[in-house]
Amino acid sequence: MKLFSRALVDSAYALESSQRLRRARHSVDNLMNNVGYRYKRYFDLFMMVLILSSVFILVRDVKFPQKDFLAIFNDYIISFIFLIEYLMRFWVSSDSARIIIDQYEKDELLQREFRAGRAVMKALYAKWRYVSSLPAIIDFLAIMPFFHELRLLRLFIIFRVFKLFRYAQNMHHFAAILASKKFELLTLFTFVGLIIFVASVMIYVMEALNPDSKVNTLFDALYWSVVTISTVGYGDVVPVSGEGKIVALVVIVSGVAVLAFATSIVVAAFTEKLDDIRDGKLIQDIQKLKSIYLICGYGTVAQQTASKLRRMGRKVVILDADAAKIAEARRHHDLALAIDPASLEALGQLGIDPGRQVRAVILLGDTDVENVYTALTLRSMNKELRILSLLHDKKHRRKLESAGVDDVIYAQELIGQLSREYSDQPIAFEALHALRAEHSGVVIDEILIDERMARFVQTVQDLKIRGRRLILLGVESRREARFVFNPPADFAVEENDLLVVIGENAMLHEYRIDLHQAVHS
Amino acid sequence: MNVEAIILFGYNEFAREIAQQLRYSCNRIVIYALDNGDVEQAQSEGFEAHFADLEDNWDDLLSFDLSVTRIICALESEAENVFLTLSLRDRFPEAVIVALATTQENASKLRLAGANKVIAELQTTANLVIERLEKPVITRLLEELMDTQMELKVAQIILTELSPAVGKHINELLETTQRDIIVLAVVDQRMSESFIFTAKGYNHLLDPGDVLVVIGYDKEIKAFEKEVGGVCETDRSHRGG
Repeated sequence: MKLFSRALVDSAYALESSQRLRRARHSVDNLMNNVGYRYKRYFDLFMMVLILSSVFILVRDVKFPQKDFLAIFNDYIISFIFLIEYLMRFWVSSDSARIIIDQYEKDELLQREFRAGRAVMKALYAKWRYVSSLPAIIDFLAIMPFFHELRLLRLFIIFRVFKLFRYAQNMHHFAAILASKKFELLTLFTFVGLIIFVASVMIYVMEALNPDSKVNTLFDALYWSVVTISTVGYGDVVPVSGEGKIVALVVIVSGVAVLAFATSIVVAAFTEKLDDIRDGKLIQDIQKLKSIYLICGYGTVAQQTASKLRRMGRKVVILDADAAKIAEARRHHDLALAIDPASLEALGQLGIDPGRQVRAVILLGDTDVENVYTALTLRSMNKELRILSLLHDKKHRRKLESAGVDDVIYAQELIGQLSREYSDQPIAFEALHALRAEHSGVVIDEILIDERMARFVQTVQDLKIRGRRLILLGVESRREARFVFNPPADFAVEENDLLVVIGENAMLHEYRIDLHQAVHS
Repeated sequence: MNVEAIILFGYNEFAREIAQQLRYSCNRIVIYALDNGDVEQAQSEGFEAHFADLEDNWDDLLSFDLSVTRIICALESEAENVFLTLSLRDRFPEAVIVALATTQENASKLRLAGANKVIAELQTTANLVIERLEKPVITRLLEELMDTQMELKVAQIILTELSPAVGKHINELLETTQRDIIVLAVVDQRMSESFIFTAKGYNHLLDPGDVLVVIGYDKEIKAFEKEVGGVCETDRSHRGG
């Protein structure tokens, strides 16, 4: 391999293997392009403030002499920040090192000589594609005032206004909607252009020789055509001849038709895309959440579960492939998405990190087949994720467990258990369920002994629970790996042990606070 | 008062699970189904089963001592379940009727029809899903407590006229007993049937007929029962299984 080619490949590998560089690149890419990145919002806001300040200074400059510090701020500081931004976008727009490596590995695979020139051209072409894109051109023109000496270029500051499109997500949606109707809009513009051309020529022919008419040039005719077809009709240029008026009638009617056509195209595009826009916004909101319960499958049990979790202040996201069910879910819950939870691709679009954001997944699909499939998909995404599933037919229990479900709930069995419990000991049953239901004011709750508490609490006696009208039912002991009922005063309490305490809500709340204060004091 | 028999109406998936669960803790389970196929299936699974019609006058049930019998209405159709509950309540005002409902709305209809206890399937399932996620230790503990096969259990002890605990306040009773048990609540049958949790009502005066709900190991509960001179209702659990 030639010296240049070797040096090029070595440099590419060196850049690719640099952890620091990759991390930096990833962060910059997130800041510039990832709408889900938490700091992007602040960055966008900062840039929008700069743009608006810049425009304000420009407008103020028209009638008031510019003060020096404003001129420096506008021409140098803001322009310099925009330049840095432009260069950062240029950097992350394509990965040149990766392109060169890909070309090298491809050539190696095909056992042919590495063509360095081709690789460099590919990398340059990728950069050129970015540079020649409309947003990049606007960015470039927006930094033009940086060259202060070229006073004429100050006008380019107006391009900074266009930069606002980059930071306002709704503008992206608007552009995307219009782009989706490119063909219709092109047809419309061609039609309008044709009418304007024909009308301009016609009115010029009819009116130009008439001494009373204000249509003297082709430009006058064009101006009149545009003003008339847009239905604005200033009335400063009007046809005076009979033939001219006939042309005017045709143009006016065409104008109304064009407006109606244009409006219908835009409205149809918005109607078609409205759900996508709403879903996009919802996905962005979900990506920002932490500690969410993901309910996969929406039915009657899901509705009850989601409602109760929401009342408890928990964040619930509902996913179901059936759009009709999601429409029903949205009547009660804000965060519901028509996404197939059994599809890795769909979950990828959702863009949540199961390990970091999801507290547990609840599978409440209509069939066991659906739940098994979803469980496998989720398990393949994350091994640690807590998954709970409803079981419809008890012969499928093993299948759900094999698919990685941690906890299987078979409603029929539970109802059977409850009926047995009630039949055996109705009073004891009611007492325990009154504690669960929390309507008696007395509740049963768990208190975790955290690392700080464990330093100050060594035994049950140290918990100082006696005389507080609380009952310590027992301790879920990590050391003994079991529940220790009614432990004696000298029983050792350790970090991560769970106290199971019964008492009035207010008393329990106060005890929790006291326990924490005792640790902090 | 020990339950001697269960009369179960219906033989759908829920009813079948109820029958299976009660099989080992109750002497006699009699199933009445509205469909001959269900009757045959119940019989093939080893249960005593009969065909029933909603228009029946339920003379068959007169052979049961209803003071020691639970009636469970678990028919597939909600409307039929309400109709059945109403008919049974009308005929047997003292019977203890447990009914299954899918939703809270139907549960309130069943209560109006006279059911003593209504288990709403949807709410119960949703609650259990949430409990298992939010309070897994407590859920497991409560399930174990109600499981009669486990050593640690919950029991209800009725205080008799001669009980030494009668005339004492709850806190006195708790201070004097040396047993490794927890008295969770008291039901004062004279005042009302609602619970007085010991964590709240320390000063409640114990009367004959009061029911103590206690948690502890079998041996300790029996010793406590002797100490307070009450009647424990957990012994049945050892019969069938």
